[in-house]
Amino acid sequence: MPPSPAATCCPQVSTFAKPATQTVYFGYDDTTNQVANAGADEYWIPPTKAKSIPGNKEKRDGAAWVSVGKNEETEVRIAFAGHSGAACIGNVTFKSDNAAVADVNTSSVSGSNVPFKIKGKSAGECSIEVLCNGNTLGYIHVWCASPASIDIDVASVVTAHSRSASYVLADLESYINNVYRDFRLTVNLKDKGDIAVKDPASSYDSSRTNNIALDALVVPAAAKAKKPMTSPYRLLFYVSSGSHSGVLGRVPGGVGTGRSGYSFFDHDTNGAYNTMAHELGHCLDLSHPLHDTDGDEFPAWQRATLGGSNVIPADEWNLMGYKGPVSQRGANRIEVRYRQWKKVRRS
Amino acid sequence: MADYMDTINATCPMEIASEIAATPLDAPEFLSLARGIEQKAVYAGDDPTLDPACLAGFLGHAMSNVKSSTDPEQVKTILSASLVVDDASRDSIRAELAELYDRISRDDLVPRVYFYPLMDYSIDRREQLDPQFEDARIATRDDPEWYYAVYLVSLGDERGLEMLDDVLTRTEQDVHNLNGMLISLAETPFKALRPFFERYAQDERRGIGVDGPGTGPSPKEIAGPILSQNSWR
Repeated sequence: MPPSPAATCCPQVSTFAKPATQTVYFGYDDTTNQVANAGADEYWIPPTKAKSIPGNKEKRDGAAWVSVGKNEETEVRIAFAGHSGAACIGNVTFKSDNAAVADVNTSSVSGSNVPFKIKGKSAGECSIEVLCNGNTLGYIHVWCASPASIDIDVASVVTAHSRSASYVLADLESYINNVYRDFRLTVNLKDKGDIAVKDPASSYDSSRTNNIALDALVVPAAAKAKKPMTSPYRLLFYVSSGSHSGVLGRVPGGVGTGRSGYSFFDHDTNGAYNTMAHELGHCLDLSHPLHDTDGDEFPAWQRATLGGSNVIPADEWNLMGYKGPVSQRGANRIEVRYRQWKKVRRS
Repeated sequence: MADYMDTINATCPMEIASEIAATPLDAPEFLSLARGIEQKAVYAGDDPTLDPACLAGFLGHAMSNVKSSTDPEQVKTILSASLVVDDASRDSIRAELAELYDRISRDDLVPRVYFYPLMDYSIDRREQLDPQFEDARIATRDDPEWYYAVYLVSLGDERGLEMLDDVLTRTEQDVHNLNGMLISLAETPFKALRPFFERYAQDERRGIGVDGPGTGPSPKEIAGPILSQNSWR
């Protein structure tokens, strides 16, 4: 973009917002940089305040983050305040501080609260700046990644104590992909159906030790049944044929122990798909907010507000949190944020 | 080159054979077609299982059409599907698969996807790969060097064991990473790897679990079930 020409009028400030339709964007994070003092700390308050892209892009100034894939386009809404008539808005230009990562795909705007398109070009981060007459009016931060796909085997572990699970593979795949699109990840679920093994435990047992032992039995049993599990991840239903254990999901191999990660589910009813998306997050190295001990997945200010729980007050429905009940999680516990976009394993 | 279309026409249901003939490798529909055939071949649900030879014929046909410019996602899909081809059908595509590796770039694929078919089909590419891994030292279990070492083990090459022994020894103080390496090795239960599991079979330190450090599994919990299974090869 050429420098902003000398303009007779300019809006005072520009802001960005999430479009109403999810199909036009991927991840939109207005939580990471959420201000400490609403109505005072936002970069757009007061509109006449001098603005510039901060050196620390996680500064709590209200700026949003968007995710986009390489060679993909995402859309946000851009709005203006102060001298926001069409003539003044027409003087606005846009600039990426790293056009090799992402750039603006909207050459000009002529109104407020209109679509604004950003094109991903290569993996990395940058900021898109809104300018007029040489002054910064606002900005939005961009995280770009090469879209990737991950294969996952899905099966029911059938033992003397556990039954075939009820699930619809296409629905489960669609659900997880809807959540993971923010990461620019696609999952390919491969159904292996029922895998019968002799449970090492004498009764239904969802302990970590037994789940690990079951996984070690299930993989060769599947191969023997000519349904080999060859994907790097496994989502395994181990649904008690008696009463449920109360354990909705478990990642017995540990968080992010690498490819060949696996999860178990004693649950195949409403909410199970969300639990699977959550446990898959663990397989892909994501932690609960409370257990992000190295502090790389949630900002310090958010972790400081946890109060011993796994629900971030400012981000209650984060995928990796514990906000419930289960019946509400399917539609709500789906948010993933900038630091999680960066952290998640991509293969 | 084998005439895979003959195999496809002889072993696949007519509608699948027609779809294969009408779907070139670079068509967007190829990925869903490939995944659908793979799914039908290994798990049919309520439908009759697809003849395994149909999957092999389809993959041989697809492999023969791969060029150096083919989208890596298509290549990944083909290579991943090759892992579920049944033993009886593997010989029919082994040579095609080996030739495919002459036309694809290792850099375009994650190491697991690149190396596992080489291991599964016992394809020896050490002559081509050795120069790329000269003086290789494994840093993490995600490295191409890690997978190359496991690949060497699959070929009975002692250098692979030496590389793995080196990285496991350097890593063993970090129990979480050690767990990850053991879980990764468990995917390829070659008998030569057994001593590594035996080495850590009594290690009760705990790695990182979903509830934080010290709440994950121990090497003992991971190694024990692997050692007791009878699928070592």
